[in-house]
Amino acid sequence: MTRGYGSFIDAIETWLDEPPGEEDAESVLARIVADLDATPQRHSRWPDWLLLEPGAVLGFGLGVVATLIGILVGTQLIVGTGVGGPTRLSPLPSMASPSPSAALGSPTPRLVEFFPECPPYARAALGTRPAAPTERGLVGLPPVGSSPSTPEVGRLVDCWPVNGGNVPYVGMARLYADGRLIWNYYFGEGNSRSTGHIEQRLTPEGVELVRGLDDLAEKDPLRLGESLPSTAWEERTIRPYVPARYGACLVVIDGAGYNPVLALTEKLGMLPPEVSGLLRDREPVPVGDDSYDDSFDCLGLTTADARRLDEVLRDSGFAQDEQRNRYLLEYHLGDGPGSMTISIWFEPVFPDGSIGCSDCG
Amino acid sequence: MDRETVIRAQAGDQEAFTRLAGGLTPTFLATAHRILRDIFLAEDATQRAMLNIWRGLPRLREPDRFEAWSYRLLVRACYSEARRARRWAPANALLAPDASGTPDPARAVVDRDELERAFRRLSLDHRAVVVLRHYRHLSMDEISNALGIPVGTAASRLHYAMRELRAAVEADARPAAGRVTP
Repeated sequence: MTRGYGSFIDAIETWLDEPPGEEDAESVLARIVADLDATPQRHSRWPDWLLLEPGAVLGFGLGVVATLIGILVGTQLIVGTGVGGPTRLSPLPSMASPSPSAALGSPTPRLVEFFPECPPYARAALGTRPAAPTERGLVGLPPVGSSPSTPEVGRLVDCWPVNGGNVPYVGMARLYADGRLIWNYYFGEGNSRSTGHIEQRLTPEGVELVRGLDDLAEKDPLRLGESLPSTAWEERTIRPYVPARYGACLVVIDGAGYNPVLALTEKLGMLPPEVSGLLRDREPVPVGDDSYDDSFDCLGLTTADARRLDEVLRDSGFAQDEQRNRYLLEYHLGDGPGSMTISIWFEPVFPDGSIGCSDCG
Repeated sequence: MDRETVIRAQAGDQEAFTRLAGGLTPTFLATAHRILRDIFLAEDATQRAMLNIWRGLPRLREPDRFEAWSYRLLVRACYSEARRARRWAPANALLAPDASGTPDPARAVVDRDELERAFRRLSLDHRAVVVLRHYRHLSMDEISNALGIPVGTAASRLHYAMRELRAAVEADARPAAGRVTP
């Protein structure tokens, strides 16, 4: 069959004008509007100076100051109390005689088994919930010598977003077949707080009880602490979740505020060689929820390699953000407002081999 | 798109965002439906895109670029939904060419089934550019902005997509090998 190109285009356009089936935009809009309350706005993955109009170079200077403060405060927070404020921190999991492989994390990529991909944060249940815990998980890398959560690999059997009340705090809870319940609350940019990732342990009975709950509000980890019988808990105490591996995540933001979708090689090409050298040839880490799109890349690192990268980033002129470092260990490299910037931050790898998002919501 | 409304929505005004969403949703749903060829995936992609727009609005530096930016999020949401469909429903026929039906070589016009089959054989990259150009009638500059790719890449994708589409339609309509048509 032959026909002119013009008539072929006409045929395509006529065909495209006809909907492939019935469309009900009103019901989609209703769902969107219904989800707004549970979908807090995200401000940025980069310091405020990047959001200033081009030319507002003052912000750049502030970024430098923030770097110094960030390093000082961040170091205190990470090594000392986990998250800002005079909060009480439960003891880290045993610091005694970690096995060499546990302390360093496995250098080999692990089997990833998703069950199922965590639902969107926007589906979190609304409603009142108990007060936020004073106990905190880790933010950034763990203190040297701390033992990772064991076993290193676990099968994810349930996953649900957590939210509540009128304050836009959101997090994700992950339940593993071995009883580990790992969760976090992020309280939004305005509050600059996060619980960090927390670990509790359920008995097999507890795992089944939680899996049997249909109502997301009932599955709020803080509510579970009150509602589950004592036989459901192997370890109800809130402890920091210490991962065996980390994801080093990269995103580029262009001068207009977009995250362009770039190949990983392009992103690595934007980094100083001493940084890209530590990231090249690393296995990508899958993201287990809806937090990142194709503009993000996350690469798996052992804890030891993550520490090395952290040092190199600090030595290579990457800036930190004092506020964001209260809930995330993150660095930025860029030439100031209006130019291309690259951000690198660390996310804990969960026992199923995936990462989440420490500041999503 | 009303700039003031975009700015208000950026500041967290849900009413303003609802107004924006009311204007965008039918267009987004129709666009996603044409790219994905599946209404359920299209609805999910539209919902995901609109909520990502809401979440990401505060980081949009230039409200005037709202429309192109929002299209970019829609196209990405389409990619995500298609991937999700592949990951969790490998038997899903969405991306598989529909081999049913026998083409009638006697027809002189492109028929809808031929186009449907040919279009489903395209990659999502190619589908997106065809839909944005020939359904939304965006300029190549706008497509380049919406997809976050250089204009040249957008033009080349469109060229190859149309070539592929045309070749597929013609192959579909061609008599099977070994059969001689008088």
